[in-house]
Amino acid sequence: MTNAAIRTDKLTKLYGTHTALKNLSLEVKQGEVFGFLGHNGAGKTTTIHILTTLLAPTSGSASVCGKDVASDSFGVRAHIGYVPENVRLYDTLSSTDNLMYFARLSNVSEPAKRISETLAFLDCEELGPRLVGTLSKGLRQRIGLAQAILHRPDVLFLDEPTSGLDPLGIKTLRDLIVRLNKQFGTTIFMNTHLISEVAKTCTSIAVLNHGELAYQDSIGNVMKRFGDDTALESLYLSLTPQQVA
Amino acid sequence: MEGAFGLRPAAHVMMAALRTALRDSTVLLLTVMFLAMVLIAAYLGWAASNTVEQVYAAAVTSMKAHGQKPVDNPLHEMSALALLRNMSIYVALLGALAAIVFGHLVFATDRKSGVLPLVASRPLARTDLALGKLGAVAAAILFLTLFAAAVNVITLLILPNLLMTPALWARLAGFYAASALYMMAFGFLGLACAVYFRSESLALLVPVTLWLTLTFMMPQITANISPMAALNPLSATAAVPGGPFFAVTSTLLGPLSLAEAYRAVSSALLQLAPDNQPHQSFLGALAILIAAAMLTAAASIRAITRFDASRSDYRD
Repeated sequence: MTNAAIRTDKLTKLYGTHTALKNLSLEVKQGEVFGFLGHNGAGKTTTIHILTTLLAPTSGSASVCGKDVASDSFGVRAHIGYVPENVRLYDTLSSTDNLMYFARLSNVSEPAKRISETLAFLDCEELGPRLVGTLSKGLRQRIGLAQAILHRPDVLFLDEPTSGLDPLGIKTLRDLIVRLNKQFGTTIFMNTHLISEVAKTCTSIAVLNHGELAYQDSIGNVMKRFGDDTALESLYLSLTPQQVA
Repeated sequence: MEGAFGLRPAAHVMMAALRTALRDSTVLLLTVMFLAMVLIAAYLGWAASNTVEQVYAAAVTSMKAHGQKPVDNPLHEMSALALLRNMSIYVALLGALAAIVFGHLVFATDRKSGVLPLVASRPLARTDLALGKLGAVAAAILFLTLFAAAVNVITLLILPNLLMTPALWARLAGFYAASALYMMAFGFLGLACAVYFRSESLALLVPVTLWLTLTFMMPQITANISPMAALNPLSATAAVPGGPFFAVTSTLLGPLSLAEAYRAVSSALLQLAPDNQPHQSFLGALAILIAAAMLTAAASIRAITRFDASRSDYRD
C-alpha cells in the first residue's frame, strides 16, 4: 500500500448533462484529517459517494487504501467507515441492536465486546439499550459514528458531520474525531462547509468549486499563508477556479 | 464468505429484516388478521362437520325407531380435506395481501430509515443483501403457513368421524406448500416493487393492483368466472366456456392467471374437484405457481443488485 490513503485521478461524474465532478485529482495521506470544503452542490457528497463505492464514476479513477473503487469495491469497503450527513438507523431497534447488525455485516469478531468498547470510546455507553428513534440528533450522530468505526476502518468518511448540531454537539463530535485520529491513526475525510471546523480539526484541506478542485494544501501552510481562520474564510468565499494559482 | 458466528451475511440481513418488519404495526395487524381467519376457518370446518354429525345422529335414531336401515354417514362420502375450502379463500385474500405488505416493508423500511447507504458501504455483496431480503419474506410466509397448517392438523385430529389417511395428510402438506408458493410470488412482487419504484405510493399500489387484477379480473377474462366467485375454489371445477374469445384469452392469458392456477391446485389437492379432472391441468397450474415465485424472486434480486444506494430515499 502506498502512503496515500485516498487518491483520485481526473475523477469525473456526470448526471445526464450536469457535471457534478470534473477532473478531480487529489491525494490524502494516511493518518491525515482531511477537510473537504465547498459550497452546497459543489460535488462534495458525490465525491464521498464515489469513494465509498456507492456511486460509479463516469470517468477517471479513485483508490482507497490502494484498492480501486471501481474494480475492487469489496476491497475498498473492508477498509472504510461512512457517516452520512443525516444519520438514520433503524428507529425501532435499540442502539446496540443496530450496532450488532453493522458489526456482523463487517465480520467483526466478538461483536458484543467491540460494541461495548466503541460506545465507551465515544462516551455513550448509556445509549446502548435505548431505541434509536428516541435519540436526539446529536446522540444519533454519535451512534452513527459508532457504526462507522466498529470494525476499526483505516479511512473514515464524514459527510457534513456537524450539520444541524448545537454548539456543544459540534464540540463533542470534533473532539471525538480528533481522538479517533490520534488513538487509532484513522485517516479522516470530512466534507464540510464550516471553515471554523476545518481550522480546529483538519491537518489538510481542499476546496471544491462547482465540481472542480480550487485549492489543496496542509492546514499549516494555509495558516502561514492566510493567518487565521477569518482569513481562511475570506479565501474560501472568494475562491473561484480562475483565481487560484 | 463466512460472517461472525458462522452465519452467512445474507442470514444477518434476513434476521435484521425480520426484526424490523415485525415491529411494524401494519404487518402485525395483517398477521393477526390472517391467523384469526385461520382459526375461524378451523371453527367453521368443525361447526359444519358437527352439524352434519348431529343431523345424521338424529336421522339414524329416527330411522331406527321406524324400523328403517340407517343410511351411510355423509361425512364418510366426502374428503375430510374439503372442510378446509375456506382456507384457500383466506390465502388468496389476506395471505397474498399480507405477503405484499411484508415484501414491501422488508425493503421500504431500509429506504425510509436511510440505512441503505450504510449497508451498501459495508463489505456485503449485493446478492447477499438480496438473498437476505428474499429469505426474510420467505421465512415470514413459512411461519404463517406452518401456523395455519398446525391449526388445521389439530382440527382434523379432533373432529370425530373424519378419516385421515396418509395420502390425505400428504395432500394437506401439498396444499400448504402450494399456498406458501402462491404467497411468496406476491411477497417477492411486493419486494421487487419496493426496490424498483422511486415513489413509495407506487411501490405499494402497483403490486396491490396486480394482485386485484390477477385475482378478480383475469379469471373473468380467461374463463368467464365472476369476480364475486373468483375466490371460490369450487369455481376451478367449472369448464372454460366455448367460443373463440375464451379460446384465445384462456390460451394467451391463462398462464398469467395466478389466482386461477392457485384455485386449480388447491381444489385438486383438497379434493374439491371431480376425480376425473385432467391431471395435466393440475401440473400446469403448479408449474405456473412455481414459475411466478421464481420470476418474482429473480426480479427482486435484479432490482436489489442494481439499486442506487446513494439515492435510496423515496420521493414521497
